[in-house]
Amino acid sequence: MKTRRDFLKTGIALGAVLSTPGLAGLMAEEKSAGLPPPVAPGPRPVLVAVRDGERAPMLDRALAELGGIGSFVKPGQTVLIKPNIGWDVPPERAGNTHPELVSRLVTLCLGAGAKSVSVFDNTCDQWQRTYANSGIGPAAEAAGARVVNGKDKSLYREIEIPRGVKLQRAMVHELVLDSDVFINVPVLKHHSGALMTAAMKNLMGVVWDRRFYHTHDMPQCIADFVTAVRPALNIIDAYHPMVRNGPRGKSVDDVVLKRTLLASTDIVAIDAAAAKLLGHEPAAVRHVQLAAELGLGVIDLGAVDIRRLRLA
Amino acid sequence: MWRHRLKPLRVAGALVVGSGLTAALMDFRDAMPASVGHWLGAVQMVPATIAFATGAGLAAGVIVVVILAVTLLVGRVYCSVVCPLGVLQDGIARLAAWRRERPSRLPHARPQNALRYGFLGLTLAGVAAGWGGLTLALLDPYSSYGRIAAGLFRPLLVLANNAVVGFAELLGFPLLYRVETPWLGAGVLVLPLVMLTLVGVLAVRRGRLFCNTVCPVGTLLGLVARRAAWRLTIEQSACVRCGECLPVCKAQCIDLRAGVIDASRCVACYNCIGACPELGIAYDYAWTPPVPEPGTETEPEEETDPDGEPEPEPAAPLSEGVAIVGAGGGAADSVRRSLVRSSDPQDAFADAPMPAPARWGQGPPPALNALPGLPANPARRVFLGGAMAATAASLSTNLFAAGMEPPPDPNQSTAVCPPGAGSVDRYLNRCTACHLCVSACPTQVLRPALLEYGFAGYLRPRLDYTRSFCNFDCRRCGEVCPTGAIALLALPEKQVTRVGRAVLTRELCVVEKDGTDCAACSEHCPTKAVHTVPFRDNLRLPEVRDELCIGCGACEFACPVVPKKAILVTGRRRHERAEKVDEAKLAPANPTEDFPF
Repeated sequence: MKTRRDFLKTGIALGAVLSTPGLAGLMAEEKSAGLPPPVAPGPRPVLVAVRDGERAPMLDRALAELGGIGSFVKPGQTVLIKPNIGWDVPPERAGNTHPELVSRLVTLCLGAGAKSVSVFDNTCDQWQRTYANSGIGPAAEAAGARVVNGKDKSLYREIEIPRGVKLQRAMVHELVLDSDVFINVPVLKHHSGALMTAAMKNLMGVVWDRRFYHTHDMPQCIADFVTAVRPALNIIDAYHPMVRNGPRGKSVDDVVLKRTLLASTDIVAIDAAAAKLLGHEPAAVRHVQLAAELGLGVIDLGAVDIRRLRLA
Repeated sequence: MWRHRLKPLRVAGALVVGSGLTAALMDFRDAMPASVGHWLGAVQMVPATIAFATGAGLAAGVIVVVILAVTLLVGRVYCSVVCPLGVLQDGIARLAAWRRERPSRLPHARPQNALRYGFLGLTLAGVAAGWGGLTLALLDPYSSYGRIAAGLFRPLLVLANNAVVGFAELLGFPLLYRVETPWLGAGVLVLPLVMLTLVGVLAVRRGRLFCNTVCPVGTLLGLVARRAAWRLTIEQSACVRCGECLPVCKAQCIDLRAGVIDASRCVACYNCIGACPELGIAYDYAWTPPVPEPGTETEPEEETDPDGEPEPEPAAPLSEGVAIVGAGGGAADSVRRSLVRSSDPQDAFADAPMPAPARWGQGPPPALNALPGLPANPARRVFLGGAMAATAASLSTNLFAAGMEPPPDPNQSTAVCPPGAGSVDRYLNRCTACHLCVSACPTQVLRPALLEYGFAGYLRPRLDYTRSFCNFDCRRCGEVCPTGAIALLALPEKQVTRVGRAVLTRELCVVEKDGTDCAACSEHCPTKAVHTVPFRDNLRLPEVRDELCIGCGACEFACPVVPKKAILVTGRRRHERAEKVDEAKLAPANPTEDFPF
């Protein structure tokens, strides 16, 4: 009989292997082409954690540590950047990824020769207002990105999720399925339902029907989805995480200044580190634990090659 | 000649007002500034009167006075320039005219006094009886147009938009975005459909008959316009009774036989001025008071017409008048025959079946209470004066009373009316269901009610949380509302206005029932009235703190449980203020702390 411990062991081992982007890409349907090459040799996934800088310099530093944006984006490729644009709140409320970070990333991708860079989210609040008031819409557009409607069902296509435990099919935005490079750029927040929202939870925003998640064991669905769709790179905006009243927040009093940014190709490892930033044990965040059990990444931060960097 | 510039001016004004208002009502991209819809609605007679009578603003009083004063000075310009339903009828008639070689024949017709005063009386009686909200909602021409544009035109525009988006995508040229087609439902659309059909058919066949029968605003302004200082009149010295003015008069108010234009029905479109080949339509100051010759004072209405019959229709289009004369003429054409035969127009009038009234200014000055052209009908005057005074009094008392009644049970469940409405009763008394807010609402949570408010609330917008929820930082409905039914609250005030209350049914909740995390409700709650508390198996169970709940419906909309949601918002008949709880400040992070991993 397979114990949970065995399961975890294989999961961790498998996750380590899968965490190299090339192989991870092979596991993801329709995503086999154009994924970036492995960024680090060896089985240990790399996690870059940067502190004490402004957002754009921290991003630049983290990417340099991962081999530069050029190791993820090749000339002529189409890029999708998926920030968290959930709520109609201004940037200082930290309900959404900060527009400066999105803007910098768009600029870098275009600088690396990307054919196009698209940005969207399936927002919770009214989408035009949310795009506008989060600052992401104008910032991404100014940087040269295409800002796309996430509320148009005709832009979603159904995919099979054969390895999903609860989530076996989902309507996914075509940009996720058709772009060459998928970069996940969430903001780190407290979450009243999922305890924490960071990289994996942010992927709910590329799915049409979130109510299915909510009625079918949401943490399991969040983990299941990662078996089918894996971002090439995850960047977590933890500059001023919302530590209570999440995920929408009530006021600027809900945020704590941490001036931190995380980046990794391993979505489980980066969420594990994010959980630590909010003071949780990674395994206490159920979808992180479940993803580790599915072998989608490394939850044990001791088995992760963490590059700790300070800009000040 | 300055008179000939009046029609282009009128058309230009109508286009500006009509297109601005239509754009606001059809806006589906949050593109129109709220002020455009608000002000073009606020200058309409019924919204302005309601806003004025309920004390919603001094500007409304000024608007009412200006409308009445303009009408008293130059006639019903309002009906041709400001009223969107009037402009719509002109547009429809114009489209229909393109398909015909000749303009439709609109002979002079007698006024439908029973109908027009009946509808005006019905409106006033409705208001007096405390049913003003519904009566005005059904009869106000501006609101009728609002519902036509918001309910029928807007979805068509969205369909067109979506077709263009699809086409642009095919060309690899993504420019716009698709929008869900905002059909409002058959129960709501039946009224604008009927209204559009009615005014459309009438506009094509009978010009502005609607405005001179059904429309209470038209009738009311007609009562003022019949005393207008400047009126369109027939220059007896110039008129050859060719009848060219008749087909272009959409109000059918030119009585060539009597040589008078019924100012109470004339909508000041100025078509006749340009149509007259003899320059025989004057627009003269009519307050230099002559006394009508004794015995010649005439009612413009045809109830005094000797034959008592409607004006006989010309047997053939008027332009064929000469041929008719040559052929001996139709039975009804004695007038025109005489016109054509006579070289002196004045002779023609000698043949007319009715004596022509004296030209203004030709007689000695009359007493002030006998202004020319005003039929002396004391009975009607007394009736109307009394009715209007009584109605004005009851209008304001009724509308005010809503705010003074003993407070209804605030917990009574009803449909949810928008923040700024104050209470359901206040709201239903003031809202004319023009649906400007329905179009403007960015989340489209505002939808016309069927019977959710009860029969009296038909068509009045409510917050429908099955479709969407009220955006916490938005007060656009208050910004556009032209009547003050949805008062514009300051944003911090709006954010503590409790329009409803959320009630959680734990047995239905996913967390309780399935034992899995959900909290979609608390995720969406902007005030954290819905938050989560630790529950068995490391789960988080939603909980409602009633004192914080404003009833925005985010929780209900987000709740994934079907068919009956686990968290539902019921409306408050009377809105209240929520508490605002300031939470403790968080300790700042230690700047020297290291990575926690």
